[in-house]
Amino acid sequence: MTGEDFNFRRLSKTGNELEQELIDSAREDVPSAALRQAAFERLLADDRARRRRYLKGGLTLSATVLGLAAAFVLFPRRVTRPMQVSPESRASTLAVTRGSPDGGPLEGIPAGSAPPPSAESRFAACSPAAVAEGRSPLIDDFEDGNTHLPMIEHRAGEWLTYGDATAKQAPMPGSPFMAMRIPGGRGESRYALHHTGEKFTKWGANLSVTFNPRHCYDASVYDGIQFWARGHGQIRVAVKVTQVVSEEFGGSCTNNCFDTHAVTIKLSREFEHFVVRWSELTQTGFGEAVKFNPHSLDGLEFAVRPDQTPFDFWVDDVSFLAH
Amino acid sequence: MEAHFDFVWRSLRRLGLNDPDADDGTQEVFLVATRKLDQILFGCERRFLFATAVRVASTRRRSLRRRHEEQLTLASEHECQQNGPERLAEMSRARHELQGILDGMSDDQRSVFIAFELEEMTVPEIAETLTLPIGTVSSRLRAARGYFQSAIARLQAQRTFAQVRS
Repeated sequence: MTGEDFNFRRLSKTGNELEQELIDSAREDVPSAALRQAAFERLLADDRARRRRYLKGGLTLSATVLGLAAAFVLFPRRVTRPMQVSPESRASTLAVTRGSPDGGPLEGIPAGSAPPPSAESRFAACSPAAVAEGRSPLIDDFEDGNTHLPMIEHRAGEWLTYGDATAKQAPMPGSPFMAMRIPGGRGESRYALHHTGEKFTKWGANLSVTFNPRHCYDASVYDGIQFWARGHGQIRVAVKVTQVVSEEFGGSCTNNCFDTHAVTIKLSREFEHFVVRWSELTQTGFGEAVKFNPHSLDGLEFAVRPDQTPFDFWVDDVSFLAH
Repeated sequence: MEAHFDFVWRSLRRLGLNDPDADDGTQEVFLVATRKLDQILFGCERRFLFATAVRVASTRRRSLRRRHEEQLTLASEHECQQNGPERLAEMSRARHELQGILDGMSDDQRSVFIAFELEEMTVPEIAETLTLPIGTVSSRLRAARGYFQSAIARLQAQRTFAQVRS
């Protein structure tokens, strides 16, 4: 059965000269060899990254199971009070990474040893935290093509997008995505994150990353963040401390959450280098006033408010700012 | 991937993406395909890729604010080697005109038209690819062809008028 059986004859065979000319022109349209090569490389990189992720996932699971078993055997009587986990602690029940040179769990401690929440401790450094040593400030240059943070200094998060659902955005929230090839490149950089969206009407849309999904992150060894960006309009660059993140998402905030510490930057059509120091970050004011604490970070986000939508921006070479 | 690369890229271009977006979109389509390899039936790769391309193009088209600085389509290396400058100019103009017509169609009609007329898929294949009843594909194709042919008639008239004036 063919298309002709449905009373349709293809215009490329039966159409007039102009129809055939237009259709032929489209058929002869082919992408460049360079694009083909770039796509191959990108798929290979993505495949390698996925394999690494699966391997790491398996190792992490094994380590967690072993840690739980060891804790059960070694500390059955030491936990004399009910398990109590500080809201600041985003750690899993046992593993800590402080002092771990390679990012893996080092020693097991009972979760009950985390300090109980109190008015004072809520604003103290979270514990246990994944600690940046200050040797490798790069957060992500996106050259691997994927959206997972390079495993440097216990960073293990993943970039994601979300929005207020009043309009569409790309990449779509909840769907896997990847870094995009920069049209024309940017020096030696070939890939960057590209975020676009239509007109939002509530609170806007975000491109966000959590430094370490299982721990709060201590980046006090650094002075701030830096990155390259281009686009149009303004975006808010926010560094989230766990105290403004709701409990639902692993923070300790219970009321008027997500009043993040941020600065607003104006983008232009060309890539520009932006430096944001911790001291420049301020809250909007709708939530509880929280002192910015680089010992207790959750993540980083590039937020677009409704009055700046529709939007279209690129972000590249995101890194901490060394002293 | 090699076998279908041009097909995916070309489909995305005709589905309304400009060059950089079609480049990124092509990679996105193949990324989806590699992640769902186990779901793609042998012999149905082309259908899967086209369906994915339609979704990717739709998402990008709706989400991306059209860049004002849209660049002129540059001829590929292959084309430069194969064709002289006059032929390249003709093809470029024809593509531009075709794109103008396709952009005037609704998304539903356009994807059916591209699949049938440009990529030579059959009506049942298109119906399966886009998970539509065959009757719906036929009616969309009929409407798309009607629009295409009336646009061609207008274009023909414009060309004739231009020739007469010159």
